[in-house]
Amino acid sequence: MKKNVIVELAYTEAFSSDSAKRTMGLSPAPVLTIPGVTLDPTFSPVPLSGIRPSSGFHSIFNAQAFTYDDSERGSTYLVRGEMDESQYEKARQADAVVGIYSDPVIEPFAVCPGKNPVGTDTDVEKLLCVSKLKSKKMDGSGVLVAIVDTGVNINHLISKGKKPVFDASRSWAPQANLTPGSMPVDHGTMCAYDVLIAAPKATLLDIALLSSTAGGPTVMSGLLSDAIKAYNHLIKVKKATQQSLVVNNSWGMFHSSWDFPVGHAGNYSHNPNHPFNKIVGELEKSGADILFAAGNCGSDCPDSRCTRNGVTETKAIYGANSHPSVLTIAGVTKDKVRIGYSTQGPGCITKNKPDLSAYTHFKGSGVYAYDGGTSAACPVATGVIAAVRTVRGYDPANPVTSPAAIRSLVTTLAEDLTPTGYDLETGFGIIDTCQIITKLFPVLGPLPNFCKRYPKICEQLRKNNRFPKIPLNDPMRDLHKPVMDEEAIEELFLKEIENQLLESTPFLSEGAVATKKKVAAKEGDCGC
Amino acid sequence: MDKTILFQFQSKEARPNLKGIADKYTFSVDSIDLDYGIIETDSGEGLYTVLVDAQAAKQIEVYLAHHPHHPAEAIFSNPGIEPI
Repeated sequence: MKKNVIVELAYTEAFSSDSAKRTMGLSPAPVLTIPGVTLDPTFSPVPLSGIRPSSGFHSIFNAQAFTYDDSERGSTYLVRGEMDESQYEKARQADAVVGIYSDPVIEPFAVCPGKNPVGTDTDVEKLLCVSKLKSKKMDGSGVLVAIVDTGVNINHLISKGKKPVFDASRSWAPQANLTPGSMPVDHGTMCAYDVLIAAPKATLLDIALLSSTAGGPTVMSGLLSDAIKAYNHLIKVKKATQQSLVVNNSWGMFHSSWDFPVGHAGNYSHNPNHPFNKIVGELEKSGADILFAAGNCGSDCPDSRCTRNGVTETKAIYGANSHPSVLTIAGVTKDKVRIGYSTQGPGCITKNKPDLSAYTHFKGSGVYAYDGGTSAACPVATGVIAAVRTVRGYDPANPVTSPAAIRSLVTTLAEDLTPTGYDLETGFGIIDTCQIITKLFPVLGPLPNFCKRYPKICEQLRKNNRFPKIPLNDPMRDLHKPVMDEEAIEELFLKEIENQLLESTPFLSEGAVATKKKVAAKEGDCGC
Repeated sequence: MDKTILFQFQSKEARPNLKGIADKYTFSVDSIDLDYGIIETDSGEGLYTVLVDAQAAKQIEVYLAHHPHHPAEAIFSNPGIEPI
């Protein structure tokens, strides 16, 4: 079987002329022949410095043990060619051949459109700790999720084993003849499917924005004015309900030639005053969590729509997709590698975009060969936010539940993919549901350690019925509602010591009590 | 004429009416897309948006060039959007 090989050659006198040096005698009239190897005359030989021991001890792990020999005779030279595998030993024995190595085909690591899916939605489910979400009842129950897209086909979701909750009355379409929830199976249905991975009980609203035929360049397109109308509808929905609302937007403007120039008062891409950018802020202020896909104009393999008139635009996230009040989502595979077509920042309105990454390019909804691009990554993240909202619903009186607080929660807990922290390719990292669960449900873990450390106090607290009586080996222990966290236990512990000290010696001064408390805390026993 | 150009304006009225807007910015009320209506885009700053035709857009730009106005009052692009 023919194989591509790299051949390492020693210097020989045959290559002493200038032209021979340039071609190692391979052209114009090849003087070098290696049995069984067809050398590539178009490949200029690459000199490789020789290594000369500088002391008695020679090891590549000890740089001081050798020196490089850059001389013509001390170097070896790499050429490439093709050979039959069976001829390896024969070729290896030829004069001047130092070694023959494999020269495999190499490709960029980037996952690009058209490449096979990487994993399935079941893999994504595991990575998102969905079983843990379920155990905490973080399943999207009671949370509205608006799929602002081409329309959703609920029957398709059911045919794929989902049990979607759908609210037709609060859905919306730009034209009266369209029926939300019964739209053709397409992009929007894929988004809905991917939301349901983390939030299977979320209530879906079909906001069929991109089914508009208002003049966009393709069938699945619309105009930004339709989006303003759709957002106006969502503001009304939000204002009329106490329910949390999460809004998925896997759409955008692909090229600046679709817009007024940057600097023009009417520009969209860079202009926070544009009506759509204004109304996005307005919807967020009403308490909705808004997520936008970063785009598919990643520099490794941008979508064809990122090129117009020969100009390919990458490394720019336009308009509301880079709005400060939204979460902008990049795409990574289940192997935690950024997909090559996920648009890198900076954002045009907020520089530090994208904010987060989520999983994509997996076999999932069955709408396409794979659920791909930041289009799929965005609803995966939307599902996680909906799951969080199940237990941390929006309450205008509680700042911890504001959309900004939720953005902060998920970005600070993201799994960073680089050693440098935030970056313009994957943002703060991959949305980390397991960490979010730990943050929202701390507790119980410290109890065993605390009792090991302070056995006497612990015993006393147990006697006084101050601890929840949940056996450590109880398999359902994790599901019990947390009673107190570590700080509360410590506080309780110190208070208990203080009570006991005062009971045993009621006339101790405040300072003496404080000193005794410190000693007791250190020794794990108040000695009362 | 296509009424596909976005015009955002400021109004202190809680419910601005189309006739009042057309009069203020000196264009015909027929230039406004009535189906689209008036959409509030920023309640804090009293900003609203309508769709107008090219003729109205020109007249609005002339008006804004000669009158002090809110920085977000302008004719805006209404680009195509597509699923990503």
